[in-house]
Amino acid sequence: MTRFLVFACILISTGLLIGVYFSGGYPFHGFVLIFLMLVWSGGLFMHWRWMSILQLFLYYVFIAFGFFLDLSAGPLAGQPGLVAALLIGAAVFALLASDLADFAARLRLAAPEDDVAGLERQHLLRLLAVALTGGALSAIALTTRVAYSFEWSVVLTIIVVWGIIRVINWLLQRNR
Amino acid sequence: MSRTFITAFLTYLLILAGLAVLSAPLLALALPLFLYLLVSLWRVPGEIHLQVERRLSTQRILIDDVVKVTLEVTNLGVSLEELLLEDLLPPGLEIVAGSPRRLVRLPSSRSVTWTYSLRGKRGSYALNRLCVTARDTLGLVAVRQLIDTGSQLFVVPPVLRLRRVAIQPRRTRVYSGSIPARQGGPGVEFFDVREYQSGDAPRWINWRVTARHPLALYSNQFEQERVADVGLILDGRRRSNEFGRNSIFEHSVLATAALSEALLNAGNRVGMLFYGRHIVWTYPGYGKLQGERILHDLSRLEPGDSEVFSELYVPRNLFPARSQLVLVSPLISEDYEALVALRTQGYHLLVVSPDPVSFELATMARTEDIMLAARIARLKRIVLFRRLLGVGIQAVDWDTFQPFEKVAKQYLERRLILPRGVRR
Repeated sequence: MTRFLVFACILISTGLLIGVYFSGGYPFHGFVLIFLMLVWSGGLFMHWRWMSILQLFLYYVFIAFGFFLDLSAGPLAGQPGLVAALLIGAAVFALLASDLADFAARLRLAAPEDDVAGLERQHLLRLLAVALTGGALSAIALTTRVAYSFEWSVVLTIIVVWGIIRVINWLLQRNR
Repeated sequence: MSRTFITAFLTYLLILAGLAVLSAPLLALALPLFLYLLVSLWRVPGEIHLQVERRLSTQRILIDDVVKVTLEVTNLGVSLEELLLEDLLPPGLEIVAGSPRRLVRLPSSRSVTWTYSLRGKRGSYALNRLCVTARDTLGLVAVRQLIDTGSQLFVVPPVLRLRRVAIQPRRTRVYSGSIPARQGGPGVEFFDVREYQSGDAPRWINWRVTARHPLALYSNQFEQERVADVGLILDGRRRSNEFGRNSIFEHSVLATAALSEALLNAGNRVGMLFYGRHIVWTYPGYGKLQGERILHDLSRLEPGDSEVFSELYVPRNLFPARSQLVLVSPLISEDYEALVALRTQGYHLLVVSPDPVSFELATMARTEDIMLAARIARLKRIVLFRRLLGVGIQAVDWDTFQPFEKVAKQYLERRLILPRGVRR
């Protein structure tokens, strides 16, 4: 089941991105994405574990690039919110595909008597919860409008960097 | 580069880029990744506390026999969401049934037990490493640990049953056995006649001799049969055993195992010396236990080249003077001098030589040149054997395509009357 879900997630993520890029008038980018999807699928057939993480990186580059292009044209004209939602959706599905591809590779090491279905069910539930929460947080972040000045952004940047450093330190101490 | 690093790098990149260009969508894009990373790192298993017990159905098997390995892993620490247990097998072992790996979820204080079957080539295998990989909830971060389980498996060569190996060293030990001791006393075979002594059984009286010498009675003496010291020497030199990718060494090991069994069964004190890359010395001993020791040592021997001894080398202090030596070696022409030197020391030598010519020929295309070369090699070997026989060394040429039992029955069961050769 995991393998099927991997391909489904790749297809959905690529489909969303292609849709946005094609409708925005960037067909070349769409063709590049089709090529990337084929390479990713080929990598899965070849059992190249590194391919998924590389593709996740490339997909995120495309998604980030999409935010800088004016993609609200054609059928999506005047709907920047929908474009952003589609791009965030593509990002979430790319993350799911990357995680599930690695999980499928790990499941190949299971013995016939192992409870693979149980492991799959548990992993999918957790992953789904993380993906849904992440997607929801992104949506909230994009829809909530809070006006702040440049000074506030500098302060927030410092707080964020300090917070991340604290989290890393805490996790390192916890795992030691 | 690990998935954790790439994911963290991507998250950082998006956050920093979003803050640098003041782009809300980029920051929003980082959120799912950040959450994914956070959940993974949150549930990284800290230290793994596992207790592993390994059980082997037997610690010693013959080649082609199967051993069952049972592993029981108990989690003494925190619950592990995804645990990969991998029994690391040394090369040379083959899995017959089951799997040496398990992928499980192992809650605290619970255990998992599984069994798989192995067989292997001759050798001594350390089955002592279980690789444990525990992952976090989402499988992003792995904590790996090697657990020592301390087991060893010996795959020993098959022991062919030989009825008897006829040897007659000059020196025997005091215990009774089956080797003629060249001394009169209780026994079976006629040895000599001496004047009657009180205690001699009347049926031992030799009436013919007594009739010729009417002043006294004469009785028969029999040859005592005792046990002897036997030194088995196994040649593990690469130059005499290996021909390209093929090695005749396994045949030498087979013959050594069979000979040691037969000699020990006859009550002899048997030791074994192996020389190849290193010298391995199995101290002499009697009985089944010694047979096991020799088999264990045989299981871990591999041919190799010694940095010190390029020629046949037998440390004489290991074997008592005038004892019986049995050399198992494919032999090369240069060995002649070393064997004669041993003979001059008074050792009785028996050479069992797996035939390297026919062995190597079987792996080659039979062209005219190769057949001519094989003929020359065979003639050289015949000459070497005749020269050895000339100095009183019995050499048995074993065509490895013949069963060793058959060759042993033909050449080793009966005592060969050898020329005196070199006398001491």
